[in-house]
Amino acid sequence: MLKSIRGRLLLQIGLLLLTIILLLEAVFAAAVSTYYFDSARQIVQSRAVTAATLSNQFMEGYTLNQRARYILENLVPGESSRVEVLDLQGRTVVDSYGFSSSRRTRTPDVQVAQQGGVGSYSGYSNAFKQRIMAVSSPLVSYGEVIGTLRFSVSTEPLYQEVTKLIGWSIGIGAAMLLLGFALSLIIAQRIVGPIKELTAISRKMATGDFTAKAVRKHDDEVGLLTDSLNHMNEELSKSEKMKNDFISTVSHELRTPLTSIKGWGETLVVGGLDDEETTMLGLNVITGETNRLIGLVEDLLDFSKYQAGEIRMRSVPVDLNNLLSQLDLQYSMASNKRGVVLLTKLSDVPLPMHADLNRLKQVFVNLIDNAIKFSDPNGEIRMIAARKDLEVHVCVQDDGEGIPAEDLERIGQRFYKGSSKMSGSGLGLAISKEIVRLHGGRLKVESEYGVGTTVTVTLPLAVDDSAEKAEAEAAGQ
Amino acid sequence: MKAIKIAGLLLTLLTVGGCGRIASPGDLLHAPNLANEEQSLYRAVQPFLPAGYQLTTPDQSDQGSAIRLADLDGDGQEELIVSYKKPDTDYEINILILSKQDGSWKKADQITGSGINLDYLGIKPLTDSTSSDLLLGYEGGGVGLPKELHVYAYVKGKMRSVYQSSYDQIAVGDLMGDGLNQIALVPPIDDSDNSRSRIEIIGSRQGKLTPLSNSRTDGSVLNIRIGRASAKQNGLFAQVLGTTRSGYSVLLAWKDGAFGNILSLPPNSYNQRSYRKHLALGAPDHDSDLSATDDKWWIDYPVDSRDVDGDGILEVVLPNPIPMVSSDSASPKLWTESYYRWDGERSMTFVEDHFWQWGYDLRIPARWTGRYQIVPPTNASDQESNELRFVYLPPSTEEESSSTGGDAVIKQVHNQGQQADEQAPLLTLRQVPTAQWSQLQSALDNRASSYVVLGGEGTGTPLSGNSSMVTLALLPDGRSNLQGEQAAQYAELLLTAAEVRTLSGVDRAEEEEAESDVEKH
Repeated sequence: MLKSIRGRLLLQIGLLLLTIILLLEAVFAAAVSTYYFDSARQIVQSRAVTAATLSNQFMEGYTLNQRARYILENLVPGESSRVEVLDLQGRTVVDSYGFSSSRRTRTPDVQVAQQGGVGSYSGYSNAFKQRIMAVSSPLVSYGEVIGTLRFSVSTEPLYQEVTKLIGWSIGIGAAMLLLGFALSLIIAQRIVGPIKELTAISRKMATGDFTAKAVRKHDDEVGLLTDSLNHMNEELSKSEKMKNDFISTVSHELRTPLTSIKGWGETLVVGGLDDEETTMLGLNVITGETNRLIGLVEDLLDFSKYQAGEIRMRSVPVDLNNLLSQLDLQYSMASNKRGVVLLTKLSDVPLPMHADLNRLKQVFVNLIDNAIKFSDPNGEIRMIAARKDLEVHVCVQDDGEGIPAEDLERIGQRFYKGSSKMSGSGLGLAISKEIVRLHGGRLKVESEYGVGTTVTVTLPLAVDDSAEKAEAEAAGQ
Repeated sequence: MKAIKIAGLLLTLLTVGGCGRIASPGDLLHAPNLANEEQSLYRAVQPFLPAGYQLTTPDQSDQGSAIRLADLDGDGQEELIVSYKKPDTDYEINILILSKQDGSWKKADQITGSGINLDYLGIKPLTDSTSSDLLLGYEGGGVGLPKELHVYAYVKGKMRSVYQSSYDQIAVGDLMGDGLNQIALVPPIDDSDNSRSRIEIIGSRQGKLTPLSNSRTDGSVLNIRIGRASAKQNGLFAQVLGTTRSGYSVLLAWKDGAFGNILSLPPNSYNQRSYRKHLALGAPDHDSDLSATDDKWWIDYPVDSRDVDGDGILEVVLPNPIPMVSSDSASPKLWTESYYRWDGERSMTFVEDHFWQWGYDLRIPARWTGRYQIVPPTNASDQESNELRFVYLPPSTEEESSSTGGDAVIKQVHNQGQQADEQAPLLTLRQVPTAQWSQLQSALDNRASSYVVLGGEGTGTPLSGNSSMVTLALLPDGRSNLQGEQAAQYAELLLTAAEVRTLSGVDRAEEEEAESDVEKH
């Protein structure tokens, strides 16, 4: 019971309601009984005091019997109280029914009246076999108490009325309690229902059913939860798709070199090793394709290492210009198959930084390779380095086909290759991005479809003393 | 939202249905039901009474109800007698007699008398011990105006007037011991110049009500009542306020075939009164003129006889002056009231002494007799609290010579008055305002000596008229400067707190609480 929201809600609301209702009931009961009994006493008391005062004022000097008679004869018609005149021993001289009695009444009210005060009493009367309320007022003659005028009424109707009212209030309280329970059940249902739906849907999702979709019904916390669940579902399905794409790409990438290796291998087996030229060509191709496979697998390994955060940069103070001029040299010397020309514009100022040169080289090689790959044959690509404050911007530009806007966003995500049919694992840019990030820099891809692509690598420069010292020395010379 | 609507509807229903009938406290009040028999009687008489009737009760009666049951004709079946007034006639008293026939009440007869009130209603056997007569005394209105007595016999379902007389005071009871009742009347004074009244006793002689005795007095008669006078017989007690000495008490009783005044006290007996011993009486005074002899039970002020010791026999009071310390003649005399019981023959037995102060009735212990005196209240010195002290009176060598009478004792007391302050206190009565009481109480609680609250603190006797005062009895600590025999005697006289409670009647009031016939909470 307590393990469900509904149970807790019911229990808490129920307890709260019960407390409030009990408290109110108690206050009500106290107020009602006080009201009834106090009013009744006041009514009886005012009658008793009025009657006694009249008798004391106008019948001074008369005997108690005479005064009793006068009181009896001048009772208000329909007097609702029993009126008794008691002597000093508490014996009834006469009551409002005309009887006298030697039975003695010595309840506290009578005792108080015999002392000259107005006394009241309520309790069970053995004489009447019921609960009564009585008010006694002294009858005084020349300053001396000669008897007691006692008004008494039955309190049974008061008890009945008070009991009835309290019964009603308890009934209403119980109804309120039930109503409260019903309402809290409804409220609990409203809270728990959508949550249960969501639970069912998320279970479905967990089993891999990405078509399941939660329906947002209310604009509240549960609605938000629905939204984020749906979002999560979308992302899951996307990555699922990406995984599938990747597997097919990688398989394809692996198969292409394997096919040519297999082809050449078969050719060599069938053709024998007679034609040395052909044999050499075949072996060259096999070696080249094997290298491609190794590169591909290394990329994958690298990437998985980056993903796992296992790669650590062996940063040493370097000048980026060295790396860039080395690259320039490398690409200008060994001109590529497509005849693409690399134009390099390096910065005049030194670009000192802490970096792992091999890794950075991998980044730029990747960028330049990409640029060459997507350039038109015999086109040109540009590599421009410029220092800006404590950062260096290195741009690699091509005039190639560019990247469509819809792909641009996802460029650099792992396994994303774009819509082009070019070969590659789709990991290069993702790895580059990771390396740049580890160096504290950023990698930005800007592209216009059909015009060209610019990839900008921004790296922070070191403000280390050695570089400045070297600078100062150079200036000094 | 639907649920809320339903709830609202329910609440409205509850409110309208349940609380629409709320009664106000005033509407609910009604008298508690009568005890069964009274209720049936009250119901039974309603059909026979006119609209707007008022029940009325007699001033004096053997039983004060307006509705009462009594067997008038002696057939074993009780009749119902109702006294009432009609709303439209002022000078009319109606008595309705209902008899039970075949299980239901039927109107037997109705008596309409003229008068503004019923002074007396009695149902007593007067001529026949098997049946009762109805005695009605009508009051004409106004003090001093004569009242009319009508006696009716219930014969064959009708009331028949058998006697009629006007009177001033009435008492009815069995004086002759023959099972019949006699009527004692003090007739109204015919002549306003001569305030001598008579006591007339009317009784049955050969089945007819006739005056049996007539005693003339030389003054006005007070407080006549018939009650048990000795172990054997009833008597008529009265006081006569005379014109010569203060007055005297009278006890008329049936003795030697005639009514006579038992209280004929010879002077030498009267002078023995301060010793609180038995008083020897002279022969009953059968003279129809009570003023003929001076052998009287002289009283200095009128005190009604009462049954002081609870044995059912009324005691006659003889006021006795108390020996006082103060020699100041201006201070008022204080009295004890000595109660004497008639032995049925020629002697009055001393019962006990009572002392009244501030509404409290204190019995003087018997062993104190002749051994105490009083330091009277001194109001002038202290307005707030009054104090009255009983102090030890050492026996005097003159005592033997003072045997001639009580006056000598008083004289002797006066001689010793000067030493009053050094005398050993026996008991102190003190009255303090309620406001000072709580203060005083803590002071008293710290003291070694004990005290008794007589009243005014909420536990007091109802006799206290002044409820704003607390009355105390303070007991002495028992130390005194007395030597030898006197010290021993003084120690004997000392009271315990329990004794004081008994003597002052405080514990009697508490005992009454335990009675089964008392309605308590």
